Amino acid sequence: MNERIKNVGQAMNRIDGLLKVTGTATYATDYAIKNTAYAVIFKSAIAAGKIIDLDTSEAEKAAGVLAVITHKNAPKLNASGGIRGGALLQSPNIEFHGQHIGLVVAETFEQARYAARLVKVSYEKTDAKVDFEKHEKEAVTPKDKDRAEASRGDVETTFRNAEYKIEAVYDTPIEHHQPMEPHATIAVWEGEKVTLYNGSQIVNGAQNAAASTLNLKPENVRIVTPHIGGGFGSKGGQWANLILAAVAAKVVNRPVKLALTRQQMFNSVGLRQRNRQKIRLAATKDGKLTALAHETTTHCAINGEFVEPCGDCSKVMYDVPNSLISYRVVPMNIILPTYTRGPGKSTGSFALESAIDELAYQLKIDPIEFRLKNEPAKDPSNGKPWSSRAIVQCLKEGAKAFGWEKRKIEPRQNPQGNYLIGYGVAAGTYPARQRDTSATVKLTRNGSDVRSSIELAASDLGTGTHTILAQTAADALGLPINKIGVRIGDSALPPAAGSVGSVGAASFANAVNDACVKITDELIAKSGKQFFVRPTAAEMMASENINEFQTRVHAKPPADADKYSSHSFNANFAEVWVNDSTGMVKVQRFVAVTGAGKILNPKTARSQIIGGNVWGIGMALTEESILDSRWGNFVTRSFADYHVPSNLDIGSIEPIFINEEDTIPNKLGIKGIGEIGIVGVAAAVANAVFNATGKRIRELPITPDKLI
Amino acid sequence: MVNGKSMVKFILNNKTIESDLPAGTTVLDFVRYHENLKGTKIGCREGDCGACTILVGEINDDSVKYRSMTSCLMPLANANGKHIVTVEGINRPNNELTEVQRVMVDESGTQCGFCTVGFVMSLTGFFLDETEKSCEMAISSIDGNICRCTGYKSIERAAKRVSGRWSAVSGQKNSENNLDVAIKKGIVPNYFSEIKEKLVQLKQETNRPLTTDHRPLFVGGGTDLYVQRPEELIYASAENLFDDADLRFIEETNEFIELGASVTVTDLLVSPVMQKLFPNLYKHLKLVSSTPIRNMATLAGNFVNASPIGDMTVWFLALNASIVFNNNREIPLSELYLGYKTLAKSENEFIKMIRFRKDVQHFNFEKVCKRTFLDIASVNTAISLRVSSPTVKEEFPNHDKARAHAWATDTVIVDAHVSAGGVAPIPLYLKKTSEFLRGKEISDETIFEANEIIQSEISPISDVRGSAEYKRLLLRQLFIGHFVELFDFKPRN
Repeated sequence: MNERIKNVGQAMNRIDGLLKVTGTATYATDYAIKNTAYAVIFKSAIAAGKIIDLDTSEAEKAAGVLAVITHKNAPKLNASGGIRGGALLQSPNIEFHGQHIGLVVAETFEQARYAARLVKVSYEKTDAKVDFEKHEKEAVTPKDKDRAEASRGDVETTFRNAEYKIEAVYDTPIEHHQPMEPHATIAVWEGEKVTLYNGSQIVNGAQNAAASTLNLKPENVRIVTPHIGGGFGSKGGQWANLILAAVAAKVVNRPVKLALTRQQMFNSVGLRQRNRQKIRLAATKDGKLTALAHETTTHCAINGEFVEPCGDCSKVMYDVPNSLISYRVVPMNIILPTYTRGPGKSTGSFALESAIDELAYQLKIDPIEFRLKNEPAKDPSNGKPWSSRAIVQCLKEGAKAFGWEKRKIEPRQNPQGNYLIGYGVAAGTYPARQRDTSATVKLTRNGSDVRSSIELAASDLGTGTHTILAQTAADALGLPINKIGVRIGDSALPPAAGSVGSVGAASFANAVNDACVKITDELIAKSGKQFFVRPTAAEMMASENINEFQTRVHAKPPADADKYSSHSFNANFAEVWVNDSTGMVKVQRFVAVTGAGKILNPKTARSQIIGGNVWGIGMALTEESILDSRWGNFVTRSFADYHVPSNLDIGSIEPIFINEEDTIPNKLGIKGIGEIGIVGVAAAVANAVFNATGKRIRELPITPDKLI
Repeated sequence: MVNGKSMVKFILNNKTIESDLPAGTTVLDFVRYHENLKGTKIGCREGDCGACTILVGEINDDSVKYRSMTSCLMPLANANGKHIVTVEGINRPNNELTEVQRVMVDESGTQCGFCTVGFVMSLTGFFLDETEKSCEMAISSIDGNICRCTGYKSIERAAKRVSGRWSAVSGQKNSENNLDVAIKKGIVPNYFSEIKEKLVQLKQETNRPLTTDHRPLFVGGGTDLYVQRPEELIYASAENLFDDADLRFIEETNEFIELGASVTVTDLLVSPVMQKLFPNLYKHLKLVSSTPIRNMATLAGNFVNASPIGDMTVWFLALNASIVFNNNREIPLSELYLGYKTLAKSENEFIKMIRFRKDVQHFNFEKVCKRTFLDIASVNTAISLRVSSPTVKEEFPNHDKARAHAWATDTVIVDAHVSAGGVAPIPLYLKKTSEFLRGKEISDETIFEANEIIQSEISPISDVRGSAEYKRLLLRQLFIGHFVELFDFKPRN
């Protein structure tokens, strides 16, 4: 069996590469559908209150306009049907600045955009809660039980009596996902059925939410999303724009295309919330942690609660007898926050891993050694054994690859001309899970040419799902990879988990593998023969002269998976150069070592990790959304003002994978790598900035003004 | 032009197109919605992300010169008489890939793929333009493209690989026949060799710049106007100045350098006249926006946009440049600005020419922003100094810092012009500071006192690009930076 494995684990080119470099991959707005009308959304100019009057008469008269839809004439929808963030035009109430208040549908995009400006709105304003500093004190315990307080031992007494300790507050700003493809939908009705071409990380999730909100049966909603132009969480849950496209298409009785503008993206599809994290850490003189408290305060929407799990890393990273993880949240007039790459772990690790660095410095212990002294033998949060835990290897191999031994423990010891050079390290973790997923495998034979089609409602938002599934199926069926067709991104296919929370690869690939094993079993059974060496499905199709055969599975995680604690781990090493006169920081060199189980394709995996690292560097140095506390709007609402990293901003990045075999979380030993790449990155950069300058920046991003 | 409606005629990929759509329609919307060419993506409509990058070819000095541009900010009018190339225009038949496309796949330069075509077009453009074909310049050519998935490293590797292969065959230097080499190397298809002839023919039919009416809205490259008011511009009656040949020249007279108003930042970069005068031209101008925007943005456009922080405005203010309007009225650039976005210019006036004295001796430009590249400055500043010894320029060129330093300490400033952006409602010519510097020795005292005067001349506000206090501090540091850069002059604090 082993000699047949030749695709999984190989650094292969992505199979959708050709479509993407030639511009022929189809994204939501790329479908040429006859008679399409265009919808443009218009938004609230206040953050709280209600619409008193809404004059659409001029817009309705404008050239090409087919309909103007507002709360006054919108169809009744089920607002609790699973669409995130409200804004479904069901009432005149305004809960955040930029809430959708209507849309214009016209013959052309230009006509709709022009007419949208002609709508006159008058509001009754009420006091808006938009200033986090002002309302932080009103925060209460979240309703979400997972965000309830978790504690063990006695943090308060231990901390009070400790000789070596730090207490510090770490602030992270609002950030936006801003995938390169703005959210967009084409809605096409046929009778009571609607097809929605719409970027969806969770295909069946989008289908169910749309169906429930539109008061339809799920089988009457079809989501089509073969290629997604990035999502990073913003296309996980779905937002009002999806539904409004369907509503508009129903109203004008034509296909409708609705694309958000880049500016509208800032207040339409969720965001990463602003977090204020208080960390208390205590240790003995020789560096054994005795207490850890991680208390997060944040905001959520008026119409819904979402709290980033900032304390997750603190639950599992270190062996500490006294621990407290808590959350407080205050509803504010800001759009509902949502999952954003490395939710909770990226921001939480900034606080935790900065604090670890601070305490290590106080103890004059090397920060790697400090971490090694506090390695937990089992998951401290639940007492379960680790299925695998590569953190020690990550730290040690990373230190070697990076040249950590050259680092001086005292800051400002490495000036070069006008630059101060510093080294920093931080570790991270992300849970590994498999979720229920169905898959169909089809085999067809034409003479000696056997081909397979793999079908499931999985999604590929750029991660490489198409490619890893083709690799998995090729090996499991005994076929060359170019004989495998992968059909995903369509809710008409067998239901699957989503590309979220690093569960995609494990859920999809295990389902495909199971389906391929099952079809082989069935072909063998059908032949009635017995074999010493198990034949492949491809061989069976040929030897039994079968032209068409298919099967379907519903794959579940292994029964014992729950008895263990399964996580990916990483260690990040940053070298920064800080300009001593201007305070500008450049990450000159970055090494990320990851232990994430089986790496299905080192080429796509490396890209995933580097991409995550750059997200983390953006979080550390440039990304920040600024809210005008007078109006509640974002001042930063373009790529010119909201600074995602550009290509010349970053020096070299070297991803390294630890060879890890762990089949406890799932049969193929896949842990997922979409999220882990960003975890611990901002802390590594901040720790390096401290090592360079002696300045501890606890408020991201580390902009030049904070350093001079 | 008939009854205010005009025909636009150009070559789109491999076919000649005629359109009577409003001339203000963007090329992006035209190719996607009217030609159903969906490879060009809509990422931001503000020229910031590069997902809609196309190539624009026009005849220049008897050959077709191609430049990358963001189609979202380009009015159809500016396509008139040109070759517009979308990805469909470089794609090869039968699933074959161009050299650039192939390395992008091999190096994993694409993930979600939404930005990918923009990168492919920028890199393809790099091989067609006159930039030196080094790895460094290949990577610079994608400075206007944002990717949110790959972290750029794989794309940089792709850029390096394809430029490495190019130089292995053709040498790094730009060759006269880039287009021929590019065709031979499979970077663009064969039909590109026939474009020149077609453009010559087209030029005879479309030799007038497009005018749709007589209402005075003047559009240059469109890089600011299409961000600020796209809805209006589509139907607006506009005078498109971008292609007016009379407005695109760089000339050297006895005393002056004269520049047409529609000269782009890239035109400056590749101009031998400018390169001779400003040895650090590339270093300075690569901090200005991004490649596609530099290819489109005109000098006059930057001046009249009147951003308090316009890079080119600050640059030319320190050259003490003057501007000449279409009615031949001439004023110093520093007098164009009356207040925030208020200009000493009547409705019917547009800038025809910019000129500055060519005896530039020591010039420097500095800029600090939150993101090093592709960003609007927090503060920028430029300085131009002439110093006593008449032979100094030959004897102590800018790069010979050690000698320049030794000399600078007993040298007197004969003439000085200093400017700064981001520190007042207008791009600021620092009049008092400039006056103060004249006749002074380059010394700690001079720099210290000049900095005091600077602080009295500026009035920064706190905004998203930094607090007022921070901007004051930055300008102080950057002003010292001028002397460090030009004379390696380190003040003793």
